[in-house]
Amino acid sequence: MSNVRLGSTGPRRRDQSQRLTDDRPVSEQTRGRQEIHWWLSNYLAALLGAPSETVDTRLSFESHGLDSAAAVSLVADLEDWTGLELDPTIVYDYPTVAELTDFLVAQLQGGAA
Amino acid sequence: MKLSDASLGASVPALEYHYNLGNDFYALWLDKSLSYTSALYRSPADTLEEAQTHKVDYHFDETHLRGAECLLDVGCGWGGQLQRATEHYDVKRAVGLTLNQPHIDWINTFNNPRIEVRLQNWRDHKAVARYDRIYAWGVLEHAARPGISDAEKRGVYRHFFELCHGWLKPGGWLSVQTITYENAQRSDLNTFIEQEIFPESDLPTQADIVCGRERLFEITRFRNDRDHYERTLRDWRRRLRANKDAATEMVGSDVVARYEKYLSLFMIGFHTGTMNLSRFAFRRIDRASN
Repeated sequence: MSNVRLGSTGPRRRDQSQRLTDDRPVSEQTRGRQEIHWWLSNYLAALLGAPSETVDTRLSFESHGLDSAAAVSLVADLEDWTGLELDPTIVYDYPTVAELTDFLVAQLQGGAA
Repeated sequence: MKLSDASLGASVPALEYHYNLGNDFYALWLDKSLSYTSALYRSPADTLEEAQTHKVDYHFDETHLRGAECLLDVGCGWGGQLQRATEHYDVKRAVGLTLNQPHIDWINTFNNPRIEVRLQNWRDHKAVARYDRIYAWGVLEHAARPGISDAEKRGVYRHFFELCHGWLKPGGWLSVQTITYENAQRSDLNTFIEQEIFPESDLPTQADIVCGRERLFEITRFRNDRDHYERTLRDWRRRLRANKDAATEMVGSDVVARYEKYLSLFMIGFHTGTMNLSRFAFRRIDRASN
């Protein structure tokens, strides 16, 4: 629960129309690896206020300045976007974009978390 | 050591800010006994209800409660452990202290003649007769306010142990369960917790506890269970989410969001080792007269 370094709430949460490009219910959509990776990279870029292509996705979320409050916001947004029920601690168990992407792909393929 | 006002711990308004949202709100997401401290899980299949009973039984067994005459529960909350002690451990008299009137209203519905509950700060408690056992779970988290010196903070915990020593019969047992700092200190914590969740409250370290009881109590059991608190919080969070509509109707969406955020932050805190959940059993120890 480290102190805020880049803002306490992370990027502004997207509204529903921005969040989904697919009109089907979340449960019927398949979030592919590439799409999840893109979403996480863009989320970090928004957090850093930097272009997404400059974000090093091999570094941990923590090293990008994601504090515990921002982690809670990230997971809440991920839940909205994927329809999965997620623990806020996943950001610490899967601490990079690549690892968290693998975890989410597995969860989506395996059913509800 | 004379303690300043700042050493008196969280004020009644500060505690009411967190605990006085109405019994019905907490009943939506706590277990049936309304135990608002970490449970103790014996197996992966344990429900929250079972794990809260395991917690109570663990502390009672570690302090050899069965058949004891009289106990004091400092910070008794909604009194689940008072009820269990009198109904299942044959305790003749169980005294609870709380700073919240809704707790007392709830406990009075038990109509249990062996239970007596008082609206009283533990600093003001005077024992009519000495107790056989004392329990203090979720109390030391609120004993010291932020901003006091380390020496003054140690003095707060020392005062607590001195009072408990005086309230107990020789050889009596004391059980303490508290959140402690583990791999962090106050300045590392998210400010949301202090400002929005537990105002006027600072946590002890395990060393604070161990030092505070010197020459008063021997430690007979000690265990750290941060994984149990994380799981308890997961259960609370899941239940609050499952009852979100009812909770929102009771306390409003802002409060529900605040609680959901706090439960999530605490899950992270215990998961990463920022905080631990420390359970102690102590026995009063006296010096032989020279």
